[in-house]
Amino acid sequence: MIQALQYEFMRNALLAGLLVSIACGVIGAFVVLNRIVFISGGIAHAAYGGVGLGYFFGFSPVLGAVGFSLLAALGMSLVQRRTRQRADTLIGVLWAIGMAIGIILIDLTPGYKADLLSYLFGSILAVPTGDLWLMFALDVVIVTLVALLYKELLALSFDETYATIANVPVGALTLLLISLIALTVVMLMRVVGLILLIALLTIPAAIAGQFVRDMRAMMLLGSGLSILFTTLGLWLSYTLNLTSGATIILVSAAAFLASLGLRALGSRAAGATGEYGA
Amino acid sequence: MATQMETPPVAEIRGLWAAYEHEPILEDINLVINRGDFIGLIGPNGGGKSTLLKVLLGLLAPMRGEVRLFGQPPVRGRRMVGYVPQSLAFDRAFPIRVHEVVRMGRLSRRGPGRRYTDADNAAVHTALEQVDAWHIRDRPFGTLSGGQRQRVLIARALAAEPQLLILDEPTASVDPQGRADLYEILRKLNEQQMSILLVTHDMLAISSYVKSVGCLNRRLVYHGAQEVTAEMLDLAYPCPVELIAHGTPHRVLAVYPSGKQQEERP
Repeated sequence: MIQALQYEFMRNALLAGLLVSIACGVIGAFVVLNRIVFISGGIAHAAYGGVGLGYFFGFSPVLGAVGFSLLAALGMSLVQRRTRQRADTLIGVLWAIGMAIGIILIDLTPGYKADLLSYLFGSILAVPTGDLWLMFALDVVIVTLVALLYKELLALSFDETYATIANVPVGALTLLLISLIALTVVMLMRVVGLILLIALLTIPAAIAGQFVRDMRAMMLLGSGLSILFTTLGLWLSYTLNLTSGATIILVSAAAFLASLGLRALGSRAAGATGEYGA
Repeated sequence: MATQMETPPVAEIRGLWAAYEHEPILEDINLVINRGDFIGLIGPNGGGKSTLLKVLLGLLAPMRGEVRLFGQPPVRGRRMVGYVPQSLAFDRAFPIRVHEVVRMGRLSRRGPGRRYTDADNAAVHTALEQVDAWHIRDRPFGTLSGGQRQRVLIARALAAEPQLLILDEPTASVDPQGRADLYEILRKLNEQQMSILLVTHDMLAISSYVKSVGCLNRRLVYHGAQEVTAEMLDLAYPCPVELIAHGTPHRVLAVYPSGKQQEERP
């Protein structure tokens, strides 16, 4: 690993993992606590439409992905809030439409599409320095907004009705949150690809949520775990010559299963001593 | 009574109709809540109790009629209302501590981007003391018992320093001792001139704690009196029920004509 660090692409990869992990821990907590994992998965896949758009019209696919994921995010949260029933069906449909548009547009684009797979499966080893600055900027935006609006976002996540009665602008905050998810999704697309990113967005937060007692700690621990998983996954993929995105996901998933097992054991022990009564 | 000419009532509902998707849930509701009232609202499930609370709290716009809180539209007047929901609805795995829950009561006073102040923390402290929950302020909310959770939710409402408390079946998940404790807390608050609107199924509250009873089943029967009248029973329960009155003797049910059947309603 040390010798690998002499390569710029490896240093960039580690930095990208670090920067993405910060967003992942913070936004992942909201995704898990608000139970919007499905919407987030939908946003990720719909973003592929933007990648296709970028290819077709010859602008940056990342920019296209930003636009499309924001659009998908707004559409899906609208569906979620307005329709009483079957919101998940509509979200599933939007998810597939975005993906299909991307595939067709790329079909229609002539020429060789070398880095197409990198959007699907990630390309953490090919992150240019410019993208690192973009990730850094997004982290600053996300952390600043969440810090400024922490008490409102906490109330929204914990008890939306009460937040509404307290005249918190719930609708606007939900849109903001879903937009931040969309931006995080685009960052993660670089690292693990849009097919797998939902795992990295939710697993660190889900593990952290089992062991902490407030949301701030959940975000911090989630970010820390995400850094650990991306670094460990990167190292494993380097030494074993495996696809980095998938390796990072499997490392995270292994940790998640282990944490569930640990928790089951812990609650059984606690149950035996009667620590958690009714 | 003279003061009521000058200050508007705590809450005032005139000719209210409310509906979901054009299906009327509430029909021609009239209700005035005055300072110091302690109203128990009973009625069957689906009778519109939650809908009435939603309209009062500005969460649902009325189809017809007028609703005022402290003389203002609900969206503004609700700043002076403390709302206590049922504790069953919460995700027990949500990582949040008791004092953080209570501090949400201060949200309406500290807008977005502003930090909680010492005054907010003082209000949280007072509210937790009022419901005897100061000692559990650092516990995770999800690990509390039903009664403790409900007390914490009352503390959250109190932290807003409200003049009207609205509680939606606060004893649904609380054991008998916890229920009595909760009602004692409410009685003490009411003695300090807090107005209270309590939606409940619990006859202990109706018989021994509230000052007046209303019954809601699409229409509201409310006379500002403490007896449960035959009219209310007819409205509330399609089949005859036995109600046992606890506590003080004068709280015996007014009249219960045996064998009187509910009229057919459309």
